[in-house]
Amino acid sequence: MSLALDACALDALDNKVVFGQVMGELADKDELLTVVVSDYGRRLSLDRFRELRPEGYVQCGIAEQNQLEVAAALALEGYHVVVPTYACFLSTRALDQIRVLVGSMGAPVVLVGLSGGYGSSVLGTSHMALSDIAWLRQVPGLEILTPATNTELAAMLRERAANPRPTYIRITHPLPQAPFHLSEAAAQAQPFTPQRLTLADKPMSLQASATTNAATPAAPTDLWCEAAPAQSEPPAADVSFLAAGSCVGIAAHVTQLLAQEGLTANIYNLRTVAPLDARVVEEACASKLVVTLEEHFSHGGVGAAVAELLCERTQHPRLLRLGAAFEELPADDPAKLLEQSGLTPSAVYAGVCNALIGSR
Amino acid sequence: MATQLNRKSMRTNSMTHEALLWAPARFITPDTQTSLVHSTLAQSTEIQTALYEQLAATIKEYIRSGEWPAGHRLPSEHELMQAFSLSRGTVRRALKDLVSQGLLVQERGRGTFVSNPTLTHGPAELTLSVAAALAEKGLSFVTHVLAQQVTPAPAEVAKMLGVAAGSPVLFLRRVRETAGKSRLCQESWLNLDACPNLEATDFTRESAFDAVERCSGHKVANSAMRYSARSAQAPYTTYLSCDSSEPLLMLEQLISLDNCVPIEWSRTWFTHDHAISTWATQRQSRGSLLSEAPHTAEALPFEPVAESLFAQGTGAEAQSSSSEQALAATAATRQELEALTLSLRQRAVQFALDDPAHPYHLGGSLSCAEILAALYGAVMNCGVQGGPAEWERRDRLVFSKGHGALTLYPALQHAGLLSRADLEAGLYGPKAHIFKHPKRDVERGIELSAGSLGMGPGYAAGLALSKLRKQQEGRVICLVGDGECNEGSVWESLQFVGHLALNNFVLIVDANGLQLDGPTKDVLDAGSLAGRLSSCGFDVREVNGHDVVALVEALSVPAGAAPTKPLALIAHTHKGEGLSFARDVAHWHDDFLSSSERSLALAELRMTGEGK
Repeated sequence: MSLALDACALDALDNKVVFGQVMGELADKDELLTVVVSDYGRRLSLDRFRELRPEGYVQCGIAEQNQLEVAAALALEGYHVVVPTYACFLSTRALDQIRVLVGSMGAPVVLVGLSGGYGSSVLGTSHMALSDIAWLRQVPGLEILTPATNTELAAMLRERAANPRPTYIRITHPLPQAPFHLSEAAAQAQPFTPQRLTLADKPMSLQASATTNAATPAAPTDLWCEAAPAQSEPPAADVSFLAAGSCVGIAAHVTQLLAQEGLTANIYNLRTVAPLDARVVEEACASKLVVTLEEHFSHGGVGAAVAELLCERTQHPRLLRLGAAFEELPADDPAKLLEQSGLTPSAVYAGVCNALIGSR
Repeated sequence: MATQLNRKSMRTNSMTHEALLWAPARFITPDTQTSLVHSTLAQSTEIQTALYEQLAATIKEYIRSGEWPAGHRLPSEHELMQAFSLSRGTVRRALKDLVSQGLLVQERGRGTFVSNPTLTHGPAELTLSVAAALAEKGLSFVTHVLAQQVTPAPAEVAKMLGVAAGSPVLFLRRVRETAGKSRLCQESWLNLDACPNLEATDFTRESAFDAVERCSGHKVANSAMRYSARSAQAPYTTYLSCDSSEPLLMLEQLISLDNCVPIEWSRTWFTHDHAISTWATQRQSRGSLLSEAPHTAEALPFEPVAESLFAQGTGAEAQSSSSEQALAATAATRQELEALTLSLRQRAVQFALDDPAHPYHLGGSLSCAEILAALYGAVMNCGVQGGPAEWERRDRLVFSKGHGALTLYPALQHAGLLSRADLEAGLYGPKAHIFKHPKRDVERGIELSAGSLGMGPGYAAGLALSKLRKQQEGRVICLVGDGECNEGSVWESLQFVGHLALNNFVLIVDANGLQLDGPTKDVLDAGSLAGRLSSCGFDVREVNGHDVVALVEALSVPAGAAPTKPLALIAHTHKGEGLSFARDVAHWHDDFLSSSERSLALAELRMTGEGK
C-alpha cells in the first residue's frame, strides 16, 4: 500500500504510521531487519512487521540504555537494526551508550527520534526534544538526517535499513502553519545531502485527482517544492534559507511572501545536518543574508553548526539563527509554542525583512 | 581392596550404549602413499574412504616416515588444495582432525606445523592403539613383556569382557620404551574366548591389537576411555623408572571388536610427557578440562577400578578408588589453572613495572585472575582452532569491568587471540593495539569497548540474542564488578535477560567488595546481590572466586537438558589478590608501585626480574 501512495497522501499520514508501514514493507524482503523498542512499539503501526518478522521485534521495556546496548550488539552481529523511541529520551537517557557503542565502536544502528522538537509538547517540557541535534552531533561518525516530509522519511528509512550505518533520523511533525510537500523525486534523491529547492506547481496528477479522490485532499494553501536541477549554479538571491525538517516548509512559505515584495531567496533542505556539508554554507554566502531554521535550540543545533563554518571565512554575510525559544515554555499545543518561538511564516518573514534592512 | 561393583554400569556385553555415550573411534591403518607431488587421492575406493580421511592418512604417513619432522611447516591450505585437487573444506577438515589428534598444531597467522613428538591420543580419535600412536609420531619403540599369563577370569573381569566367570583370560603387563626411556606401562585383560591362541603371541614383536585382529578375525572397532591423573606409586615407579612424586596419566580403556565383543580391558600408565590433545573434548563439553564433565557418573562404563585385579599379576599393592581418581584429575586441573593464574598476575604487574610513570588498575585486575584463568584455560571455546564456522560458534567474553583488563590481555594471549608483540606494544600511544580500558577488537577477542561501566550486560544480551536467532552454539559470558552493579543500566539489562530467559547468557560478578571510594557495602549497599539476581530470573551460584576448580565446575555446561534460565555466578574475591600490600586495599583501585612495592611484587609473584 505504502509504495503506491503518492507524496501527498503519504504526507497526510501520521509519521509514526509511515514508520511502521515502511518497516512492514521492508520486512518482506529483509530477513535481517530488526526493530528494537523500549515500550514504544504499539503506536508505531508495526503489526505487519511483527507478523512477518516476529523474531526481529525486540522489546526492551522502558530502558533506553539497554535498548541501545542490545541494538548495538545485534547491529555489529550483522542485523539491520532500527531503534525508534522519543527523540528526547533517546538522545539523553542513552547518550553515553550512543557515544561508546555507536561513536567509538561504530555500531551501524539506525536511531529514529520520534516527536522531535515540539511534537509532543502538550505532554510537558519533559517530552520536548529541543537539544537532541546538539547532543548527537558531538558523536563522531554519527550522521543526523532531518526528513522534511513523510515521503523523505520513508526514502531515508528504506536506504538506511538496506545500508545500515550509524545514523540518527530526527522526525519532526509537519508545521500547522506551513503545509508543505516535496515532490517524490526530490524526496527520494540520494545521497541525502543538502538540496536546493524551487517552488513548484502542484503535480498535474494531483490537480486532477484532488477533485475526484477525497482520500488525498491537498489543502489549497499547500506548497510544493522540487529539487533544483543538479549542478546548476544557484541564482543570486537576497536570502539563503538553511532549513531542517519541519522548517523547510516555513522557508518555502516565506520565499513566496518575499517574492511578493520583489525579494529573492534560495531554499536549502539540509537533509543531513551532521556532518554538515561545508559546500552548502559556501553557496549560501553568495546571498546577503543567511537564515537557519530549525525546530530546535539554535544553541548547539543547525544555527551553531552553520555559524561554526561561517565564522571561519574571512568574509561572510550576516547570519540569522531562528529556532526554538531558549527557555522553558510551559506545555501547550505545538502551534502555540512555535508561535511563541517565532517559527511561523509571518514571524520569519518579518525577521528576515528587518535583517535585510539592517544588512543594507 | 574389595569394591562394590555396580551391575548396571558394568554391563558391557554390548558396546552400543558406550558407542553412543563416547564418540566412537574407528581404527584404520594409515594410508601408505608417500609422494605429495604425485599423489592423487582416489575419488572412489572399495571402502569409500572420505577424501579428508585419505588426506589425513597421507599427512600422517609423512609424519610417520620422518619426512616431515616435528616443527615442520606444512604446505598452506591453498597449496594442499592445489596438490590434491581438493576443496578448502576437505583440506580444513583433514587438518582439523589431525590437530585434534595432536599430530599438528595450528598457530594463528603462522601456519600449521607438525607437533612435538610427545605421545598423543586424541580423545575421540583413531589412535586406540598405543603402538599405532607411537608409530604415527615416527617414534620407534621397544616392548618389554613383564607378565603374560592365562588365568581363570575373576568375576569382575568376566563381566567387563562378557565371558563366563572362571573361563580362561590372558593377563598382560607390558612396558614400552622409546629412546631408552620407559614411556608407558600397560596392563590388560584379554578375552581368549574371542581370540583363540592369543596367549601364544610374542608381544615383544607384535602389538596386542595386531594379535587380537589376527586371532579373532575381526577388526578392533571401539574403545570407551577415561583419563585421570595420578602420582606415581609402586610398582609403577619401578616399571617406569620414575620417582614416587612424579605425575602419571592413567588411561582406562574397554576395547571391543567390530562385532561388539569386548576384547580388552586395560589400564595404561603414561609418564608425564604424554599429551592428550583436548580439542575434541572441548567441543563435547564446551571446554571443560574435566573429561567427566559432560557425562554423569552413571553413564561411565567404569566403576571404581578393582585395583587388586590389576595388581594380582605381581601381588603388588596399589591403592586407589574412583573418588581418588576424580581428586587426582581435579588436582591436575587445579595445578594447571593456578599456574596460569600466576602467569596472568605476573604479566599484569609487569605492565606496571614497565611503566612507573603511570598508575595501574592492579586491584580489579588481580581480583579476576582466577576467573579469567578458568574461562580461558578451561571453560571457553575461543574458536581459535578451526575455520570460520568454529569462530562463529565460539564462546564470547564481554569484559564489562574494563579497568580490570591487565589480566585479561595475558589470558587472551594464552588463548591465542593476542600475540606477545601485542602485549609488548604497551597500553597507550600510536603503537598500542590494546589499551588500559579495552577497545573493541573482535579478532583479538575483545568484544566491547569498556571503561564506561554498566554497558556489558546489555551488549552481551544482544550477542546472546543474536546467537539464539542464528541458532549458533556457544555462550556469551559477561564479567562485571560488584561496584559496577551500582549502575542502573546493569539492571535494565539483567531484567531483560531474565525476562527472555536467555539460557546462553552467563553473568559473572567479580565480587571483590571494594570500589574506588571504599568498601562496596559502605558506598552503596543495595542488599543481597544473589537475591536481586535471583528475582531477575537467574540461576544464581556463589563460589570462592580464587578457587579455580570451583569456578570451572560452576561454569561448566551442565549435562543433560539445556538450562532454562540464564546463569549468574557471584565470585567472591579480594581486590589486589596476590600482592600482600594491595589485597583489600581501596587505593589499589589504581596506583603507582613504590620501589619497595616493586621488590615485594617480584618476590610474591615469583618473578625473576623486572625485564620483560
